[in-house]
Amino acid sequence: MNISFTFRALAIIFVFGLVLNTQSCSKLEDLASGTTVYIETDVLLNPLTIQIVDAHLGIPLPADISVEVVGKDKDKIFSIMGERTLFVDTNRDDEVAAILPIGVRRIENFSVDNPLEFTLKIKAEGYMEAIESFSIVSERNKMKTVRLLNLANPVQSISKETSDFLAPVGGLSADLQISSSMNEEEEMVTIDMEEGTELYDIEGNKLSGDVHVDLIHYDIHSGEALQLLPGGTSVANARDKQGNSLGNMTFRPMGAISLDMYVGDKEVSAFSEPIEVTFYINGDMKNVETGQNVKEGDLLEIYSFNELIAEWQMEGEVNVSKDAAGNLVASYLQPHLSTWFIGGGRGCGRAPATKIFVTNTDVPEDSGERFYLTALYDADTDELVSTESFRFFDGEEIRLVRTSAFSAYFKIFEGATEDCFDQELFTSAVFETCDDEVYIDLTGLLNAADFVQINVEVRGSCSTDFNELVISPTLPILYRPDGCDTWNTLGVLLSGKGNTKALQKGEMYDFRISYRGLERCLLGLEVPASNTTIEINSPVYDFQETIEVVYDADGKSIDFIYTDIDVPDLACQEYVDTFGVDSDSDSNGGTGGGRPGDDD
Amino acid sequence: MNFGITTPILKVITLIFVLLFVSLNTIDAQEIEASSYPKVVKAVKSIALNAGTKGILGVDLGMNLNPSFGLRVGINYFDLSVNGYETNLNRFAYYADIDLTLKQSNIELLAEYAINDGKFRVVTGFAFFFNNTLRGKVQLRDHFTLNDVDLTPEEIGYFQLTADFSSRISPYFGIAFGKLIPSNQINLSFDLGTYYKSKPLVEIDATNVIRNNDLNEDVIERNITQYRWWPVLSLRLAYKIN
Repeated sequence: MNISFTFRALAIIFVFGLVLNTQSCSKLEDLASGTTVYIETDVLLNPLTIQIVDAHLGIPLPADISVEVVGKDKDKIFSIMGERTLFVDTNRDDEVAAILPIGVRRIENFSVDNPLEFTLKIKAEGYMEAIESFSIVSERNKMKTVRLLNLANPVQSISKETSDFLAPVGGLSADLQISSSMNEEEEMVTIDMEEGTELYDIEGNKLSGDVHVDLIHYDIHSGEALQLLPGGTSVANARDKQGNSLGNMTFRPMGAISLDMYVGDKEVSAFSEPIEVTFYINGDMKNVETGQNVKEGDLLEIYSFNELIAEWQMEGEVNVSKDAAGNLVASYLQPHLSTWFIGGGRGCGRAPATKIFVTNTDVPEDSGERFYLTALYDADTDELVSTESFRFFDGEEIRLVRTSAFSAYFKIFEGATEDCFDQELFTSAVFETCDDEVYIDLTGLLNAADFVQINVEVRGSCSTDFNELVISPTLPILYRPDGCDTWNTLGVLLSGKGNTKALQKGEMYDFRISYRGLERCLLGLEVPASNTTIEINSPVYDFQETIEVVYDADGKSIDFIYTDIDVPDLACQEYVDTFGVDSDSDSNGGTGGGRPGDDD
Repeated sequence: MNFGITTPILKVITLIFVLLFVSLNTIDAQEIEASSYPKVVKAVKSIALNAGTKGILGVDLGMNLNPSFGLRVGINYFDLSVNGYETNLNRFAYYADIDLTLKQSNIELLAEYAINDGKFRVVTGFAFFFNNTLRGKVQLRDHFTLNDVDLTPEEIGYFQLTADFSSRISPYFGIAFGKLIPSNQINLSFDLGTYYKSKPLVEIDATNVIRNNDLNEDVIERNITQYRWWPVLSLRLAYKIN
């Protein structure tokens, strides 16, 4: 027998027998006596919230929006309630914007140098599939917008042609041509199919019968059209002809189409003979490779969007030539259907993305949150590359992720949302989007003083039936000025605490919380210009709270401190059902039946 | 549940004990003139091993100042951890997994008053604690399934409690059964008493979904404060030095 072990075991049993069971006739559990359980709502992180709107802003969205996640990190993307299937939150009080909060597990490591990369394919009956790639670089919630294009009502920068023809069993009975209309930039595209061409589905089965064609031609001079281009033009990765990774790329298309064909409910994927695509090119456009206006003899790259991996893949090159009328054209053979473009692209290669360093002594990092709409432009063409919102607080470092290899500049706008911005507050100098450092001083330029600082602290306590559970919400609160159709982040409540400096006295705003089933929309609320009292009633729970609006002495800030809210038992029960924080061991909570409240 | 002891320290204490034991006997065997002994060494009449709640293992030296009064100076090693203690705190549907570490190694100086021919002693004194902390880490025992995600306990979070008893010196009060100096070569005695420890300062470091439970610091500090009377039950195996 090991005497040392026996001795130690006896000693330990003796000591803990006394300490744990004898002293003060107590047990370890007594140490927790009288404690309150503080539980956060962010079981998964919510680093990204996506709002989905119609390309024509202000038009109600369809009810059947579905979302598919593809791309490198698709397995790391969940709903914020841990569901693999992503659901968009709609609200009967706001039918023009659907909200999709993205959840990521806390064990995932991601940063600017190691972002989470994924692509969403957003579908709805009658709408063009929206395919958009995202990079998550920090835990801090960011808001992005995806526009859905109603095929029956396309925007001006997109021309849509439909055509129907018969494809007999033996292939087309005659040559066939489908053309888009000429746009304002004197650009168009034609599709030619040879007699005898047979159509196949994705599994290689031959298709015959009535064929329906949707041809979408993008006006690539329009930022709006480029935003709607499936896959986008700034991507985390693209592939060469052999399928090798090209890394971070920014494309500059000189012509782009999406071509879809259907035989009944079956989608045409390939042909026995490649179809010929001819782009009519505006000669005022610059060739990425030469830096000069495109001309006869230039060589352009051809890319197609591989929807399976959600990446652009180079298909080959095409020569620019002139047709009989002297128009610049580029013709190539296209063996399969999807979205294609001609043009070029550049990447940073191994060079790091450009950093932007912000000086703004008006806005310390811990001051009230206010996001400014920022638009990045291609300095060569003045075309919009992307939009995003930033706080521009003092000391903020911004990295240009998924934007590369072009000279660029950006503008900061007054106003909060993509459809409600007007006054230009700042325009940067031109910089390179790869391996550059940009220093901007925004002190005194962002009108920060005109807005009310609102500090919020909220915590809700459940009754003793629920262990006096205290719930501290972590979620973004969305807002928009009255009359706008898209949302932006007002501020993020983190463990029930948050602040904002995005509202002005006397102005009307809409507010929305949309957190995977927790849906609340308050429309047309005016920020009181003086002290007042507001009654809040829940339509679902037996709940009423009186909010005192009291400005501080200088009239520029308000504190909302409500840490003793009595949460209705019904809401607590829903939380318990969801997270399993229950009062006895026989309870059956935790595996996800309910949600923490609908329509509260 | 499993327990752990920091074995290197245990070995050091054992080594000290062995060296003391051997050196004292060596001195005796050499029959060096009594006048050349330092008085304090001459006064030491027993060396003893202790085991109990004052120290998992300790060693002390005992001496009688006169037939009624004696002194003990000792060192006690106490560095104990309990890992994997499972509880639902009698409240929750889910079990927590608790790891506890208690460190309170000390040196002590005790004065004794002998009654009944030394078979019963009243003991008082104080101990200086090298470290005086209780640390506990609490997290879910099992994975937690939230819809399609199997969340690890680390993902849900933990809270780590540190109770630091602010003063390192604690008084001791107790009684002892059995003689300080064995009548024969060896005896077994028994200490029953208590240290009165200082007020603990509690800090909680919590993460993730339970990160705001540092707000419970005051409550837990009050609860632990009830444990300032640290009970001592200790067996003492003494060897008489002739």
